[in-house]
Parts: sequence; structure tokens; C-alpha cells
Amino acid sequence: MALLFLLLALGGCETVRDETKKAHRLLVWHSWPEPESELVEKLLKNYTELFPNIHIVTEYVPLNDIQSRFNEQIQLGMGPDLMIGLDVQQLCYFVNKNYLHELPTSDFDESHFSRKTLNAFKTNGVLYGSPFTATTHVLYFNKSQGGKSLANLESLIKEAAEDHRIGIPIDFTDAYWGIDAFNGSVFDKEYDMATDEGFIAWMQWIQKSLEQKNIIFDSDYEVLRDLFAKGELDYFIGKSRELPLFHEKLKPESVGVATLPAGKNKSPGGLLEVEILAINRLSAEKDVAVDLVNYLTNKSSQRRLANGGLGRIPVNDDVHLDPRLSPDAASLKRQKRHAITIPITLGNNRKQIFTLGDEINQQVLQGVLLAEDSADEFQLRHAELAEQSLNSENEATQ
Amino acid sequence: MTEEKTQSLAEMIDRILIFIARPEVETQLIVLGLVVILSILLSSYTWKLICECLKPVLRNTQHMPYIHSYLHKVIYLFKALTFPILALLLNMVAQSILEAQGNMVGLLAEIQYSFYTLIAFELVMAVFYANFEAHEVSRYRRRFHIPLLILIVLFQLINQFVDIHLLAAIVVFHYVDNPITFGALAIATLGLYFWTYTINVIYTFLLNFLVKFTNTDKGATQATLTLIRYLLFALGLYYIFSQLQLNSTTLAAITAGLSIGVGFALREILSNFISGILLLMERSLHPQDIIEVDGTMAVVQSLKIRATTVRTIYDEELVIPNQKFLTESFKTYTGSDKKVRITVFIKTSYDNNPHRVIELMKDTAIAHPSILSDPAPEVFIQDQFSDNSVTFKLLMGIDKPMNKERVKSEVIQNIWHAFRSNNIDLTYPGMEVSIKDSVDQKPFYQSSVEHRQSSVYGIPRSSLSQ
Repeated sequence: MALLFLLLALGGCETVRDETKKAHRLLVWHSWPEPESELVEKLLKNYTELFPNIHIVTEYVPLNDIQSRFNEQIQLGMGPDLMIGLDVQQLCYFVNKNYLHELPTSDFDESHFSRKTLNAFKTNGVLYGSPFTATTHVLYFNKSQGGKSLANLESLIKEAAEDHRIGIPIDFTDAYWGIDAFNGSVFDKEYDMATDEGFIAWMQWIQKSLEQKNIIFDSDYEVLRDLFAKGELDYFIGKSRELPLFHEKLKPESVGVATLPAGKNKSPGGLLEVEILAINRLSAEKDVAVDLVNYLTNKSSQRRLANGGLGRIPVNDDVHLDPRLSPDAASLKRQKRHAITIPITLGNNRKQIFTLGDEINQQVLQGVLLAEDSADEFQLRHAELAEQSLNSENEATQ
Repeated sequence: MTEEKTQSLAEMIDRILIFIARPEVETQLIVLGLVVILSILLSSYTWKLICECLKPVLRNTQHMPYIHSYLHKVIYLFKALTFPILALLLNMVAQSILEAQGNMVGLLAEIQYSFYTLIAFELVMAVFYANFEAHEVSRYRRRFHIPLLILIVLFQLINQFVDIHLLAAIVVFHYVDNPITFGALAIATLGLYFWTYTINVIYTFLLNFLVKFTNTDKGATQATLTLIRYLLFALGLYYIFSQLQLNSTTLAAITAGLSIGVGFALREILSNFISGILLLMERSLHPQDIIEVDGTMAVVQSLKIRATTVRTIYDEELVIPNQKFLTESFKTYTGSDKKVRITVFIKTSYDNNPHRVIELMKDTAIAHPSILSDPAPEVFIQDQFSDNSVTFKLLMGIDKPMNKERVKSEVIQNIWHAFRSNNIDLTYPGMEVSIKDSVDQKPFYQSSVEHRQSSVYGIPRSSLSQ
């Protein structure tokens, strides 16, 4: 009992102080492991130096644990005030559970973000999480083995013919850039499933490229990544956040980053993976947390993130990176311009489409399915799945 | 104190302050406080009412000890369980109300486990009270049960606010470059205390159980359990040292320091401790042994780390350092077995037939229930014929050495009666006094001699010869 009252008394002590000098405490969870976390810690430290009355306690929580831990903590009334580095699925889950604080348009500075990006993270017009950093697919090349930026897919084939080994992950998410390279999509404007000619063209290109012995298609992303890190591949299409790994394994001066090779006169974009900042609905310091979100997404912080060598792309569109000073970061930023953002409102449908896409890709790769038939097959099977889900939902409601 | 520790502790405190500043947490803590206060008040009031109602019942059952004690146990159980059950119920009601209002109730739900723990603990205590000595259980409750309960509840409460593993990992200080964490310190202090007490509780329980429900010898059981207790204690110490994670340099430093301490201050204590273990291991002395201490018989009560406690036949408790038993010789009556021989000397007149005397003495001894048939009682004529009596020596075996004096006394009484029935004369010191000068008036010493001659050990001679 004594402990209980002591806790309450300690909590109450703060309220009698002058509001302007009031100390604020924030608990921040981040999903950035060592040594990447140093950059986040530095940014937070700078913030507390600017506002000495704000004290931030940080804790690293692995990305895979965030959902379960936050779920447990919020039931107790606890959990962090701010979470750094949530993924889209986690954001959707927390939004559905009503665990997150709505970012108020009055206090949250939306001006740095493109309307398209922000809208992708809104639910019923309300923003529950702010983009923090982005990652997308880029072309890596090993300069010491004669690698160079490739303008288009023809030059990629040519490089393969000249005995350069090229690794292309064929998992649906990792290979989505190819659909865009052929000006295609699997969604219509309303983000309903709609495969088109571009999808078929990409599948045909894959089938045709199978004849090239130096192009390695594999659905296991990590295998290809590790081959490139060992210097056994000259080119690799991978996520921008692999940059620190490649710098570590190969010499930094050997690693080149370029935009993805274009298809039919179209600079392609991969899917944009965004790390999100979200505020706990139960936080007692929501205003301070919103202010911190503004700080972390402002031009200066975003530039530091971009130049941190972590392969993170700034989400703040006002950040301009000089290709002469930071060529890698500038390439990543350039690639981000073409990247495709899937709105969070797609929810479970996204997972369903992507799983199905993996299967279709595999079937085409193994020759089980003709590239020409892949789009129809994709569409058909998705319709079947949608019907099954609808039926099971109806049964559940009955 | 290191900077690392200060930062970590500050973070922990900050974390707690962050949480308790939240209205959701604040509400739950206030509700919890109200639940506890209300439960205390209600349980006190209920207890008062129950007392009033039960007074006449308890008065009426005073002459029925079994029912009276049974009622007492039920009342104890009721008293012990009132608070936790009320708290549990009120907590559940509070949760339902808060949940209906859209508040988070996870903290209250987690703290509910503390009330379950409390109920379980009280039930265990009730079982103990029902089966063991009340004062023993009360001591156990005070020294072990309540501190452990407080620790568990504190642990459960703190664990809601901070990760207990992180708290345990906080470095409190460095000792010879070795970080000593909160967790290691807690294990070294609280852990050692509870481990030691747990060993003692298990020891007492097993001893009582084995002696009560099996045919094992109490002394041997006690000796074996004492050795096991030392072994478990040593294991606990080993675990604590492993938790402290001292490196070899640190251990060398500690050992060097200890060796000086041991050399001077702890020499006697360690010597006594090792003596105790050696005594138990070579089984030359164990609890329930009957030994002679400074010419007085005593039963060994317990062999502890430093000293052995014995209880003399005069019900005095003596605490003797273990070392004394190892360095000095002592007489034990229960070394290989509990049989001891007792001796009685009887002087009879030369007028008696010695064969008859021997026969009577043997028969009397055999007839006594405490005298063993194996070895059979034996009677010898002592050494030589003395001036005015023949001395007979009776040797008898008994298996309860502590009863030696009583048995001896009873046998002598029985012999006296047997001799009297068979007209066997006991002797008395004879003395003839010749007075050369005849004087009418007898001097005082003469009358005194006559008086002595007319009685044997204060019993008139006339009555002896009857």
C-alpha cells in the first residue's frame, strides 16, 4: 500500500510546477538494432538538447516483437509514448485496435510530404502514423568487378552476355519493379486487383531471360544478397537498406548504387517500404510526442538520416541531396521518386494478392504456367480467393 | 556508484514516472488502493461480527478438545482468507465497472494474481497450523512466509512497470573490475536467506515426518538430514558465487582477504564447523546420543554449525563447541548400541548364605522390566572378605541409559524387600567400645554411639530383624 501511495504521490508532484518549466518524459521504442540505432539515438539526444525539459527514455524492441509487446503493454495502460520504425502491417493492426493517437492536422506538419504518400497512410482521411524513412529496390553493382549503372533491361541482358553475373530476386514483392518497368500494374486506380499487359510483358521477359546463364533468378532474397556480399555476383537488385551490409562486406568504394534499369522507356519503381512513427493513444505527453515526430521528419533530421549510410531514404520531399557530395544517397532518393506506395487501406487484401503473386511468379519461372496466361490466372485465382473469403465471412456472421 | 548504474536506475525511475503519469494507470492504481482499503475495513468488520457470534460456541465446546481445536482451525482459516477473497471480489467488480467505461484494466487484472497468491499462501499456512506445532508454524510464518509473500507481491507489482530482467541487470557497483548487479545482490542476500530458511523448513518437516510415520532412528535420521542440509547450503553458496560472476582475479582477491580473516577471526568458528561435519560423517556423535559431560549424563539435542547442544538429566541445556568433541575424549553410552551395564553393590552379613543372596539378587534383577535378559544379570562377590560384611556386585544391562539412576534405585528397593522376606541380614558397621573407667554418668559421645548401633541407615535395628 505504501508503495502504491508513493507511486501516486510521485506522479502527482509534477502537476504543481509551472507549466513552462514542466518536465516531460517520453518513452520511445525503436526497432533499429545496433549499430543503426546510434543514428536514432543521436537524433533524439539532439532533440533533448534543444528542449532540456524533455527527457527521453529509449528502448530497442525488435520489429517482430513490437506488435505483441505493445498489445500486452497497452492493456495495462502502459507502452511507449512513441514508436519508431513500425511497418505497414503493424500500423494497420494498431489502427484497427484503436491503439494509436490521431496525428492532428493542426500540430503535425504535413507540408514536407507528398500528398500521394500521406494519403496512402490515412484511414478514413485520418493519419495515425507519420512516415519516417523509406526503403525501395535499387540496382547494386560491384565496381571492382566492372559493374556500372544500367540504363535499361537490354543493357542488363548485354552485361549478362559479357559474363557478368546478375542476381534478381523473383519474390513478388522484390520483383514488382519489373511490372512497373513494362508500364504495368496489378491494381487499378481504386487499388482493386487488375493485371494488365505490363504484367504479362514482365513475365515474358523473365521467361526469356531464363535462357541467360548469368542471370540468376531466385525466390530466396537472402541467398542472392549474400552472394553479392561475397563478391560472387556483379549485379544485384535489392533493397536500399542493404547498403551498410555491402559496405561492410565489400569495400565501400566497390559498391555502386543506381536506379533500376528501365523497361519500355519507363523508369521503374519498386514497392516503397516505409518505416512509421506512431503515438500511443494512452500517452500522457501526446503534444510532445507530436512535436518529436515533427522534429524527426524535418529537413535537417531527414538529411542526417539520408547521409547516415544506412540506405534509408528520406521521406521529407524538401530534402535535396547533392549527387556529388552523397552519390549513393542521391541515387536512392532518385529511385524513391518512382517507387510505388500501396495504401494501408488495402489491409489483408494486400497480403492475399502478394502471396498469390509469389505463386504465379514461381509457376512462370518453373515453366508450369505460360507468361501469356499468367495475368488471367492471377485474376481468376484472386477472384476465387475473394469469393472464399466472402463466404467464410458470411458463415461467420451467420 | 558508477555512471552506468545511475543512468540505468534513472531510466527505470523515469519509466515508472512516465507510466504513473498516465490517467489510465493512475485510475487503476487509485482503484487498487480503494480495493485494498475497503477489503481491510470489510474483513475487520466481518471478523468482529464473527467473533461475537462464535464466542458462545467456543465457550460451549471448551470441554470437547477435539471439536474446540477443529473450530479454532476453521476460524483461523476464515480469518486468513477473508481479506484476500474480499480483495479479489472487489477487484473483479472494479474491473467490470472500469471496462464498461472503456478504461484499460490490464494492471488490475495482473494484480489479481497477487490476491490468488495470497489465498494460496494462507491455505498452505492453514495446512501447517493443522498439522504442526502452532509456535513453530508462527515462527515459520513470521520469518519465511510473510517476507516471501511481500517479495512476490512486490515482484509482481514492479514487473508491471519495468522489465524485471532489466532491473536485475543494473550494475550497483564494481568489485575488482567485476560488475555486481541488482540481480546478483538480490540472490546473494534475499536468495541466500530464503534458501537457508527453505532448507531448514524442509529439514524440520522431513525429520518430523520420518520420525512420526516411519521406523527410522531419530538420531540417525537427524544426522543424515543435517549432512544433507549442509550440502544443500553449500550448493546454494556455489550458485550465489556463480551469479556474482566473479572472475578468477576477483576470487583470488577475495580468497586472499578471506584467508587473513579466517586465519584470525573465523579460525575457531571454521574449526568448530568442520569438527561438526567430521563428527557427523564418522558417526562418532549424532543427535539423540547419550553422552557424559563433566560427569553428568546428557542427550545430544542438535549438532549445529558452531556448537552441539546437549540436555542433561537435570534438564539443563549445555552448548559445547564442536571442536571439544573432536580434540578431547568423551564417554558415550550409545556408540554402537544403546545397551549399558549398571552396577549395584550390596553388603550382607556373614551369617547369610552367599548362594542364596546371589540367587535372590539375580531373580530380583530379572524381574525388573527395564533389565535386559541379554546380557543376563550377573552377581559377583566383591574382591575380598571385609571386616564385618560380604560385598556383592550386581551387574545388569539396560537399553535406556538415561534411566540408569531410576532403575538402579528401583532394583535396590526390590532387593531390600526380597532380603527382608527371606531373612537376609544387611550388614552395618559394627563397633565395640570398652570403657575402662566406670562412671555413672555416660558421656555424651557414648550415648551417640549407642544410638548409631541401634539403627542401620536410620532404620531401627529391631525393625530390620523382623
